[in-house]
Amino acid sequence: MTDPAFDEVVHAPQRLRTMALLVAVAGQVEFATIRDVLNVADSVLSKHLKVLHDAGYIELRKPTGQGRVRTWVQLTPAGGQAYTAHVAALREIVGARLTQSEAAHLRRTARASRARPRPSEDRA
Amino acid sequence: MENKAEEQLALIADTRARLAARLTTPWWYHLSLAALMGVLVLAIGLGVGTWWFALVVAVVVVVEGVLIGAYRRTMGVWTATWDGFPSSTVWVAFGVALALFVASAAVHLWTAVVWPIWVLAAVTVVGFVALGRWTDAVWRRRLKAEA
Repeated sequence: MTDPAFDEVVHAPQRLRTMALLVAVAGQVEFATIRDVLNVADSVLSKHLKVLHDAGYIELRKPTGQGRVRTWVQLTPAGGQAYTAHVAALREIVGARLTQSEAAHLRRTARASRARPRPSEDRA
Repeated sequence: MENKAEEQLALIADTRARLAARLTTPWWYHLSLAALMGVLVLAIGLGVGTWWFALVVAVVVVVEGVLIGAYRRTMGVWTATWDGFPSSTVWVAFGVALALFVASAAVHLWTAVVWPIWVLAAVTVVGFVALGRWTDAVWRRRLKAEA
């Protein structure tokens, strides 16, 4: 179970919205779709995606050989946990519970994190 | 602090609502998918035991792959897990497809008439268009409800 934890990376509004979108889809979302939903410029979204990617919260994929190269964005288990913990902290403050999909996402990321060893365990 | 948290939760709600508004499946997707399912029902009812049956099934599988790829590129979204999709509607679709395939095979094996197979194919096309729209509606409703 993920404990409520405020996350500085997720906290920025555009990054929070990006993460919320990725959690809602529970799959892959194309760069242009995120840009359109968030109604931001390409450069703004790129900057925030880089921060999320550097934090290990998202994966970026650019499949080639299908005409125009598109960037697909997907949440990592670490990103899912960070988002869920952050939202849990927000809900704790306002006294609300997790929604059905957030709870489902929490279960999914918990399963994924159990299946994958943590980086510190890799080094050990 | 509480106001800030409420603002952040409102941002999440707004994002989900915007996403729900954007998730409008192109008109051709459900129709094409339903037509492919109709072709499968026809192939089972008319073609089991013939040389072209496996060929038709292979063509349906390939075209379905192309269709899914086109959907993905058009929508800019691909749900890879059952958790993100209204899975109840997917199970209903599987159940309906299986029932239609079995019915078509039964007509083929136990009767000499052909017209029920065409009726089943027509029911498949209409049913799968309706199922597709229902799935979209359930998904959008859930996104908005949890916003």
